[in-house]
Amino acid sequence: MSSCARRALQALSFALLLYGPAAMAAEPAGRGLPADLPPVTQSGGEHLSGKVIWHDLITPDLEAAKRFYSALFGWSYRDLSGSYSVAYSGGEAVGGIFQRPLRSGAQRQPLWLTFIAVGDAGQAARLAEQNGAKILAGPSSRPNRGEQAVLSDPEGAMFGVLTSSNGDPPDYQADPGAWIWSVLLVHDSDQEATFYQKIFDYEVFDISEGEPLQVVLSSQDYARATVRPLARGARGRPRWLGFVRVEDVASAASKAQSLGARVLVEPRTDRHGGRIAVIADPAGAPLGLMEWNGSGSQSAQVPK
Amino acid sequence: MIRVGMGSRCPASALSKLAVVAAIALIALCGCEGAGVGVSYSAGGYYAAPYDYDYDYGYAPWGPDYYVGPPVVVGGVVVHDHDREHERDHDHEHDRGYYDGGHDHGGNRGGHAPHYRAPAPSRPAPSIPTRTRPH
Repeated sequence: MSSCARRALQALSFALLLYGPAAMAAEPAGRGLPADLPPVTQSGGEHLSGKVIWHDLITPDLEAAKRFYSALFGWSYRDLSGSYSVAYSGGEAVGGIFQRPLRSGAQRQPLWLTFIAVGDAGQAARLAEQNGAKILAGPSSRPNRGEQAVLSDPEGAMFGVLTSSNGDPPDYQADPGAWIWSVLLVHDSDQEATFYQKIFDYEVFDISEGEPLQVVLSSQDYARATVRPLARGARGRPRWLGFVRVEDVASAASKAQSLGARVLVEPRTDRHGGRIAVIADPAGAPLGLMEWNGSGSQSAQVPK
Repeated sequence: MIRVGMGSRCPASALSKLAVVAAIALIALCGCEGAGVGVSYSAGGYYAAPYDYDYDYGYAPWGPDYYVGPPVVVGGVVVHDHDREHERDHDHEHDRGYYDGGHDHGGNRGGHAPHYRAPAPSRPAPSIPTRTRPH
């Protein structure tokens, strides 16, 4: 081998040594995510398009997240790999926790990703794209779980669409420790509601008491989410925010703080009469806490 | 240019370029997620998409009437702010003052009809599921 060839090989080895770990660190994602995810529910059957049926937490420390949510909500877990666990509350799956190191460079914030049921995830993703969304991942199918895709809506709020392989969780009142509500915080609630109506065929009800426009997205005669403008002065991007039902928001927020969380919105009474709060878990992922008194506040069912 | 062979010339600058090209190729092969230019669709790489947000909570102070929860429906009618009826006019002023007024083409209706398809006015807004799960 010539000296030049040796030097070329040395240069290549040097590059591998120097950049290899960096490249690995830049793309640790996904490794360890099981190909065979469990179904979103064991008791499903009916497909409930438009219903929020799953949440995945993307966080840099799986074990720390498991400890936090277990202490706060009493969740238990089934570990599917070294980097993905399914969380359970009262025996019902409530979401997944996926470990993914944050990207280097700019400061990043972990998040809970909201998945909405749809009859055909691939078709929904394409329709969303035609209406101004971006497809971030998928559509892809997984045995038992179904077909899912991750999108960012026209304002950049990220969400997932999921066609569950065995139907969706039935419409029961959420127990404490389970997700009970979702809100989409945006700039333009009219345009965003219009977008989501095209994808999920929602009924859109104006529940504003004046201005600005606030609407409820509804499917199967149930309220699924609120869409409303971001608070004035909010610097963040539009986003979905999920709420977990708790018995007492004040004590839950206090406990979350003692476990390392930050309280982003202090406990306060909301329109339904119960209190809510918004926290960021110790890794920074925001989520809401909500009381619900369980009283019969459901409207009379109106045949379509 | 690199020429391999006896007596060939092999400048250091060319070797440096080779190292850089190799590094770029390596990073590209690894998915380029860190550079934000690609998304892996492999079975294990579903979460390679940049799902994390910019580090910015975006939760500016919520005004006293910045509501996000589900509606309360009684007899098919949405009950607004039921525990502070007497402050209603005052509340509206607060609400106007706490939304993202910088983007008022739709966040603020301004008297315009919405772009979405509205239900019949007689159709009541629904509530969240209230049926208790059988245990």
